[in-house]
Amino acid sequence: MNVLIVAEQSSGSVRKATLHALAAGREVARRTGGKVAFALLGKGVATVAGQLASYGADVHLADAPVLEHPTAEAYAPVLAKIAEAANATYVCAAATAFGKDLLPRVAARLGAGMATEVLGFGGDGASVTFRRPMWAGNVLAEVEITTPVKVFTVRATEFAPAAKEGRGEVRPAEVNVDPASLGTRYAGFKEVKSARPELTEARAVVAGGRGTKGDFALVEALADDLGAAVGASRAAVDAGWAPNDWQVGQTGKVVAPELYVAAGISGAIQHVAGMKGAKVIVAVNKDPDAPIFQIADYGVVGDLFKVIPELRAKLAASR
Amino acid sequence: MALKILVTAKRVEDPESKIRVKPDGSGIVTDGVNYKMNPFDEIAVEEALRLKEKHGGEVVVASIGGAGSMTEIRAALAMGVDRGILVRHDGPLDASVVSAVLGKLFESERPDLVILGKQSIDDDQNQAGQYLAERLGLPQATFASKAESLESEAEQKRAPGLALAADGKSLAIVREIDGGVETLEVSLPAVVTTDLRLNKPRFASLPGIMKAKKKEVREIPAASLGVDLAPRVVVKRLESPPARKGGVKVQDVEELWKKLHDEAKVL
Amino acid sequence: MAPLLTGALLGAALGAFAFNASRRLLPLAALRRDGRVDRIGDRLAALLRFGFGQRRLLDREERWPGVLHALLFAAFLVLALRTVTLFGIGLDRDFQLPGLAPGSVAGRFYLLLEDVVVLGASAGAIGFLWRRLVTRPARLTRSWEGVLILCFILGLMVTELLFDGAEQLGARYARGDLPAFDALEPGGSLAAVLLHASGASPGAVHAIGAGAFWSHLLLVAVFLNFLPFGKHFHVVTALPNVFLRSLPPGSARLRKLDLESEQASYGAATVADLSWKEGLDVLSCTECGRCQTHCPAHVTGKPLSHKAVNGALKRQLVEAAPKLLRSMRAADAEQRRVALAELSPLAEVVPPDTFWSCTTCGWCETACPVLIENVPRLVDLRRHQVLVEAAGPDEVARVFKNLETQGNPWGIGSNRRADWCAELDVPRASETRDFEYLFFVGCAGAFDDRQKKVSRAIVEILRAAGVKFAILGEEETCTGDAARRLGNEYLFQLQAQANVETFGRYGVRKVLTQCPHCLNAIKNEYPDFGGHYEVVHHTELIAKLIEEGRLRPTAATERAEERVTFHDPCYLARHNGCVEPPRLALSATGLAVTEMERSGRTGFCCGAGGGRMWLEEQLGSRVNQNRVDEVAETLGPEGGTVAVGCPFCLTMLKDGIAETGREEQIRVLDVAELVADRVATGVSRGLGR
Repeated sequence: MNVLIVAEQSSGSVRKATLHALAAGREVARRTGGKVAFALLGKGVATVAGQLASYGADVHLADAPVLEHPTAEAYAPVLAKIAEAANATYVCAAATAFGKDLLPRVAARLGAGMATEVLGFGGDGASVTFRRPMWAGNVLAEVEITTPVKVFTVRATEFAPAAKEGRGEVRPAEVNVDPASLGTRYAGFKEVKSARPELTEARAVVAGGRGTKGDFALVEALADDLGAAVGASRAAVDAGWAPNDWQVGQTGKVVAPELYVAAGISGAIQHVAGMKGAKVIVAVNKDPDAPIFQIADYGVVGDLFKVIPELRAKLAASR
Repeated sequence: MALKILVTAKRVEDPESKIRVKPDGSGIVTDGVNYKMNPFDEIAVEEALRLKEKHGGEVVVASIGGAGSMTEIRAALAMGVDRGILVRHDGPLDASVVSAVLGKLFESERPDLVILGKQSIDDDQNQAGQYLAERLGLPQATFASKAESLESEAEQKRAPGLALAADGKSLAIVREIDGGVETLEVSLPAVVTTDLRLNKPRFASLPGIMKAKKKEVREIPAASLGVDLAPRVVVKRLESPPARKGGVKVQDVEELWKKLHDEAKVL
Repeated sequence: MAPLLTGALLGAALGAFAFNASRRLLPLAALRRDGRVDRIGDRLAALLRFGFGQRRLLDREERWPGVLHALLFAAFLVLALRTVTLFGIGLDRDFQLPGLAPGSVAGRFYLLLEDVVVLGASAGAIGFLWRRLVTRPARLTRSWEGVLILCFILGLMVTELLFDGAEQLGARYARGDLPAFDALEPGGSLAAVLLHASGASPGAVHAIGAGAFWSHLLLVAVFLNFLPFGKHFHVVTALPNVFLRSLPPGSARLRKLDLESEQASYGAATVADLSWKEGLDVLSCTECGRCQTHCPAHVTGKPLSHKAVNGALKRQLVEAAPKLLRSMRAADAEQRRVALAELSPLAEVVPPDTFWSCTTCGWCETACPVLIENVPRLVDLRRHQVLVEAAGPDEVARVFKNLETQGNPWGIGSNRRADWCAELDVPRASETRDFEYLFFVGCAGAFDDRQKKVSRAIVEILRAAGVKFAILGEEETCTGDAARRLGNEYLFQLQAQANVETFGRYGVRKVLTQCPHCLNAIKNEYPDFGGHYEVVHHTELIAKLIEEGRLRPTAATERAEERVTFHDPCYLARHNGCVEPPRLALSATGLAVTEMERSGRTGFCCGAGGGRMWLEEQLGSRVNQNRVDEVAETLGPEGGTVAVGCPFCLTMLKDGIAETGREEQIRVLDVAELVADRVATGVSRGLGR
């Protein structure tokens, strides 16, 4: 059964998340004995199609002015056509803003059921089920899609990026969209200047407390290494070491990132109330009795001024 | 330029409650679990009310679920929504069921705008709005956010984040996507789904709570709508993720690195 | 002397006074009803103690101004008779007060008393003028009114003395006598001697006497009519205000709002939403400022000054008077609404930052000489903002949502409420009827890691003493104290009803709490919801168990060396009068408590009361640091332990100690932890700082 990977590109190159999705797609194709193909939509993206082809899958390329911006309304019908043309049973993309916006609409158009943020697959042989988180990750579910065509997005971090193998073909696809019929108009994009993500939305947060003794440089540096937002305990904000809008806690912001690094934070309930929803909590504190260790998944007893530089070195070495 | 807006208010388990999987994996233990309105829907309700306060019109809230969902409808009415529709359905809900039901409500209500939470925090699927838009052939704008911060004066004044065009025929939506902020304009009617940064929902005033008790709520059995109520996504089995080992200490950064990388897979 | 002139003066003075005073007082009748004629005995006792006894004025910290005031107050009481006499003399030269005929024992005594108080009041007025013009303490509002009134008083005393002296001298001259100092009429005779010594002719003496007489009467007339326009209206309203006090005090038992009523106003939107007594409170405020001496909000620079609030409300009341009077003539609610329309919102004169700054600690109400209640009014302002406008500080929305969904301010799952005792095998009320006390653990005791240790210590103590107890476990929900004091009466009532219902289901009669806020709500506020229980704080129960010999802490000798002080929680000591038990419990373990300057009923708040625990403290300096400074000063450079009996105090002091870098020096422990450390095995539990 064939798998169609919906590729995502930006300014002339493939987005890395697509390669993670390809890995997931290959896994399904291997089990079901099908072929993997890409769908690439855009305007003037032939070079991207070339890049994709080098991963050994055919690329269905829909290149048209109307597809310049990835609006779901314009993309969905084109993708549905491609899925039919490619005889795809599985349609897959990475669970990025692009994929999460677009794929449900494609699924609806194909009369298909869909699974979001898939972490892995279950079932036997060709009968594939999907493992995905529910209740904010408090529960793992194994779901079955009962429709002939099955659509899913995958959490990129759960699949190692696919390597190049073989060479696929680029095939032009039909663009069955009349621009005049669209009710969606792209009206601009503003790059967000701050390199750091919004605290409440960030995938990772590095927060500092009294243990920083007022020096947030390391906390900020680690955050930047991780692409994380910077947070602070009330104590640090009170002391004037961090701005108000960094405060995480009962009276500050409530965050639920995948990774929360608490550096020099003791973990009073007022702080914990704001970050206990984090999936993985790392605590660095000199005091082995600090309450933060009770909720931390990984606690390091030690001086943050020693631990964080080591962690940064590890990060740097891995890239 | 009055707007008629349909919003959703799903009844969901509060994830702060200890969510436990039944021993046989067939579902979660609901005993002792507290419920609330899906927080993304709450943002949708808030946005609809702000649009109504600015432009006039009517806000109708719909919820699909058991009798308990009346609580969430009343909560939305207490915030200021005009009337409610409770579609009684005790079976499982997936995007296809929800969009089928909402599609029917759309046909009978003919709103200018449907606003839904981008996902409900129980199944976390993030699909219903997109399914609905496709089903109705409407433009969609998902993950609506706001250019101003939630600490801004605009937020203090409860200004809507969705901007209605002067002619009242289209709506501009700011959405946060990878690397920046995108603006889409959709012609009405349209489907919008809300993200966290769109607004801070109000809490209900006491007169609001009192008035809500008297507002009209129509109850419709889902079966009477003549739509397919069979889900296309079936949950086979639930399990608890590996228990959180709070209090685990690692020896050094080396070990921390390994754990983060191989066990938690967050790096 | 001049009956017509005197009569005219008296008539005009009294008439004008009646008119002006009624213009102040009549509008109060349009305000909310509030019955104040029960417990007459207690009211008379309060009148004697606080009114005539001037109890609050004579407190330790304000001794001198208190004494000066008492001198003036005594003069007012005594001279009221003298003024009547003088007006009597004006009407009829030979007028005497019945029973006080000159020469009679009573008459002689009265003259002595009068002279003493006149001299005292003169000294008092001069002393006050000195304070106002020279020393100028911070709590005073400097105003021309104060100085003018003191001049009036001084004028009254001087004219009284001059008239008396001139009279005596005239009589002496008539008898051919020379004046002499008479210890039984010290003032009059002294004035006579001085007048004589001045060498004034008898004619001049007579003229001075007459001048003093008329000046005195005129001053009385002017003074009387000056009163209704300023803060010295308290001369008229203070004693009634004391008599009509709240019983029991309203801050510990906030007014239950009728949430079902259609017409109800929820809280205070305009001055028309005050009760008549609150109106009288406002009119009785003398702006003395005792309310803010140790007001945690005021001393840390937050924009809350109770006397300024009273002043603002007084102006509103005066401004609203015509509308209030019109509303009284309204035939129905609609007409009343129309009459009161367009009253300016109270939040304009008492801004949100002011009423959100209050910790409801109650210091102001313990300090006020005339028993003015500030807290319920401030809470009413919050109530309006929260319930009607659905507004408030940013943080409250989350607290309310959390309480609503999970029954605790942090929003932690209610099905985790009993996790703290998972390994303790604590009996549940749902499983056993065999318990004496229901241990109401409270949100902090159940969810806050630090306070969980206190919960466990209490369990240990109860077991050591063989007390039968049970907990509600997951069925417990927040008492609603924070919601109520943050203005969300609706949420409070939901929580209160839920708890009262649960208590009823298990036949609860005695409740043990570790949080004074829980204690206050269950003990003082739940009766309004049909819940009547005997409620004890854990320190009370511990003290009782020790007294009964059921608990025998080993009083280790080395403890005597340790410096320890006790921080009184406001809702324990001030609002509920529980001062001795925690000290008793501490001393039973061999600890000698060093008292802080501000302790017991006059303790200083930690900053967390009134729901402030859940709000950011963004204005001024930190209340908890102010308190910790005092703790540090009391314990001395060696440091030591500050014992507490409230989870909020524990958090605030702990934070304050850390914020001021004193972790190595001071540790915070609950009384229960210090006691548990000494029961059973007596093995030290290694209580950390």
